[in-house]
Amino acid sequence: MYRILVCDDDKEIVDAIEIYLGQEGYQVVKAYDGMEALHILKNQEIHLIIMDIMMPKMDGIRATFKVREESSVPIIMLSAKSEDTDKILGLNIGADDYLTKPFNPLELIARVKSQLRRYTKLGAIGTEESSKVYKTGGLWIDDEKKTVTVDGEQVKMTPIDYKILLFLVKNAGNVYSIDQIYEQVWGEEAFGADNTVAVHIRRIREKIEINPREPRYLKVVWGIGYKVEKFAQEE
Amino acid sequence: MKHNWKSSRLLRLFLGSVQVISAVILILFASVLVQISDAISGALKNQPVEQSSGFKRYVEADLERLQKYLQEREKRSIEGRDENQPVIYIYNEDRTKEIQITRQEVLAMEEGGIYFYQSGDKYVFGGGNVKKEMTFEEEEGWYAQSPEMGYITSQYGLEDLFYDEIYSWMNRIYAEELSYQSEEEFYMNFTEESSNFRYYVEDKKTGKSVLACGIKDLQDAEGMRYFKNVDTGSYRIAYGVDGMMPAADKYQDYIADYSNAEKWQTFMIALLLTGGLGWLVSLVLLLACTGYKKHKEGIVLTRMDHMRLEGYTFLLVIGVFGLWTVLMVPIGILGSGIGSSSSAVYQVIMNASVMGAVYLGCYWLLFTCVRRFKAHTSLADNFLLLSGARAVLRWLREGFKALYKDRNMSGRVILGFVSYVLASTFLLLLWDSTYSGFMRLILFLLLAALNIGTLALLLRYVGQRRKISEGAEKQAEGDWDHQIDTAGMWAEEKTLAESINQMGAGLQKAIDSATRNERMKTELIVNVSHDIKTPLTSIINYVDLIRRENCENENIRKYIQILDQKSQRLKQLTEDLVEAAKANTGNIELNVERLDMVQLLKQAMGELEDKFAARNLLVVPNLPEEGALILADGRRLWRVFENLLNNICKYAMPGTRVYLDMCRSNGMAAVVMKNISESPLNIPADELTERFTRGDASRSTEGSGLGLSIAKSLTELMGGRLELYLDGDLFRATVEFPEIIRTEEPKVPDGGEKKEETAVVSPWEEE
Repeated sequence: MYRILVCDDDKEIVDAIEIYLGQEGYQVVKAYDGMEALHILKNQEIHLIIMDIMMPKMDGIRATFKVREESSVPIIMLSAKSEDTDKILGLNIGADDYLTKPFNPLELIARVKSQLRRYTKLGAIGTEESSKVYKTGGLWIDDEKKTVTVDGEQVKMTPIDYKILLFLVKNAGNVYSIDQIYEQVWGEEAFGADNTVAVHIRRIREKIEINPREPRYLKVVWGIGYKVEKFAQEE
Repeated sequence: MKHNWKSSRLLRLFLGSVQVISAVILILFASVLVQISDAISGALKNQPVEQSSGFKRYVEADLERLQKYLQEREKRSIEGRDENQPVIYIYNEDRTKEIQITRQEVLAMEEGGIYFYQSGDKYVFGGGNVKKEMTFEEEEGWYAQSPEMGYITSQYGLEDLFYDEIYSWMNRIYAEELSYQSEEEFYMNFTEESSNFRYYVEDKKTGKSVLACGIKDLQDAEGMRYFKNVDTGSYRIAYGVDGMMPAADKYQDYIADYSNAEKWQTFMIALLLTGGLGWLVSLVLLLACTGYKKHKEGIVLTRMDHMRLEGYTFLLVIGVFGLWTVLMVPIGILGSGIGSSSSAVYQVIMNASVMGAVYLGCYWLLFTCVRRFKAHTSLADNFLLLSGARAVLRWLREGFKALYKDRNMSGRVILGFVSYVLASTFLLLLWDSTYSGFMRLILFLLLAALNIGTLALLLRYVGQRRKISEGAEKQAEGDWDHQIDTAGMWAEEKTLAESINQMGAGLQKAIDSATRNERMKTELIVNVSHDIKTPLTSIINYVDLIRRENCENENIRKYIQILDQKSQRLKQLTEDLVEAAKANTGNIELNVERLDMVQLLKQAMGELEDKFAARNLLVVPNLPEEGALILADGRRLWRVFENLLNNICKYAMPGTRVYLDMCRSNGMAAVVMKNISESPLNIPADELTERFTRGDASRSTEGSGLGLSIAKSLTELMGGRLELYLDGDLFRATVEFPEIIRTEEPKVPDGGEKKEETAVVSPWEEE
């Protein structure tokens, strides 16, 4: 039974989230400002925090900072501040995810689940490793078993999609144009009019990303190509 | 009042009297000093009295008188001292008429006053109780002889003879007589009783003593305080001063003074100090007090203080001169008849009063100067010359300014030039007319000054112009804050500079205000949208929760559906609002980089592929293989394409084709999207264009409200162009950007080393 701490000064939102999470079978603890959250954290075992930013007494940024001083519990930031700068600030300060209001409740739940899996799967890593596993963040591709796992959950893929994804994950961090990917995967020279690759990319995204419009792993570099984000591995 | 004591009359009175007393003391001091200065100086040097210069001087003076007497005596002995001896003979040619004048008669005549006149056929002359007569004839020759003088002279007329020669002889004889008499006096004076001077004169030829007094022979120095020998040519003289000082004469006095010198010394010093200090201190205090009046603040200047100093000095000089003249009058009237002693006294009085007048005049001058200085009067106020010069200069300057000021530019230049020409011509003409080296030098200096002055004026003008043009340039560059320094500018330059400054300041203000407004607008919009999002979140959440309740009621489900739709739309609009505001004011940070527009279009097509498929739209691309490089922000351009393609999806007639072409022209690369509209486009193109900027959401269908407006703003921000064209049911959108020349594509190796890249990155390496 996971216990999730929800911290927001808007009571209705906290209650709504409580209902959503309750329906998924999680236990919810409520807090309405940063100080309360810290206090609760000290006294109870918490597996995940959902933290708003704009709060009285202590705002979400400072609270996250303080939490990170002692714990690595996953934190999902939830805010109406949607600027890039806000997201970057939140993630840099130690949050694991950032969700803007208004949010899709399904997306929230999916993200919570993904964070929890990653957090708890820490212990279970290692026993099943084979030599040809390519990892980036929570996205693992086992080339021996030909499996794709996102945050511990396996995802089914078509062969072409798999090849594309494998190529990009192996070279995580590098950007490849449509033509380059095409040549790599199909083995022949690309001709201009084909946008099959783009379609495939979109499909892959829809499978592995919680929110395909805001992908965490497979990103579009508009006008240049595609890449898979390279994350530092958690050991 | 601080200066209470300074304005006290009593104090001044007291100080004044101190001044007078100390002045008197000083005069006393001075007079005593004059008399005994030799004594003092000698005493200070610790000389014995005989060696002091004053003593020696007395002795030598007596010696000189002795020698003079000897001379006279010699002369007398040659000629004899008979008073009844005739000294002048006057006779006619054949000596039938003769007059003799004795020495005595000459003396009498001179003392009585000589006269000479003609009476009938006789000439009469005489003086005092002497009267001589002589008959004469015309054309008679006359002779006059003076054996004493050694003269024989002749004239035709006795009158002429008299006036030309005889008269002057008589004067000379009389003068000699007087001097002899004084020498006799001297002789009388040098007795043992009357004087301490002792002498012995020996004739060198005879070896016999001629004169002696108190000394027996040339070597007898017994009892002498001073003894010397001298050889004068015909005499040998031994002289000295009797040591015992039997006579009460100047030697005695001198020695007495001398021996008292030390006492006198202290006394003198005391006199000097008291007098001097008293005078000085009282003067200083008086000067300090001068100018202050009781019950009045500050320095009070008397009427006299306002007079120019030259005038004052002039008056002073006139006054002293006048005084002197007035005092001279009695002397002039009475002539030399006044006895010498009284004349001497009068002389002293006159000198004293003149000197006193000068002293008082200078005294007053000093006081008035000090008062003026204390009152901080300017130099020009005090000197006629300066104030005159100042007045002239001021007049000139005013005159010039008046002429100069209100003329326009060309008028001023002409005026300046003309005055320059006139001035230099004038100076040159003067130069030509004078030969004096000094005048020429002055003229040269004036000419040089004129030229240098003119040059300086010109340079100054040039400098001002430069300042102005620099200032204007700075402002043109955008530095609105720069102010031109208008110090020293006149008329047009000044107005020009000031106008430029004002323009700049005005612009700066306008710009500041505009930027402020813009910033406030976007801030407002961002804040408001942020505040909207919070309740909107709750609405969306609770609508969703209601939906999850799975209500059986059909109506409720319908209503929930609508609520959900509308709240999602609201969410979209809120997000669009912020972006539109930022795009419109250009407040977006663009990550501009080189990207392939064709590739982007392909990516976009990939993203929206199922939407197109859902409406049965066939996409017909016509894109070049090599792509088209442009400079733009990838993410934002994606938004533009997304918006346009979404619109096509929404409004195109299902089952029709959508053409996506890329064409090049004039260095521009353009993506052209064409489709057939489902509903008639009853809005003309330009109105549609206008529509997006106004965001008239109410009249258009769902979703297209701000989207096109944002798309257009974004495109333009990136330096591109978005154009819509409507023809019947044909809808055409063109997105155009300047194309850049493609450089080499770098090879990216498989799994190779490459540094961590962020979301937006350019793989193209700079050559």
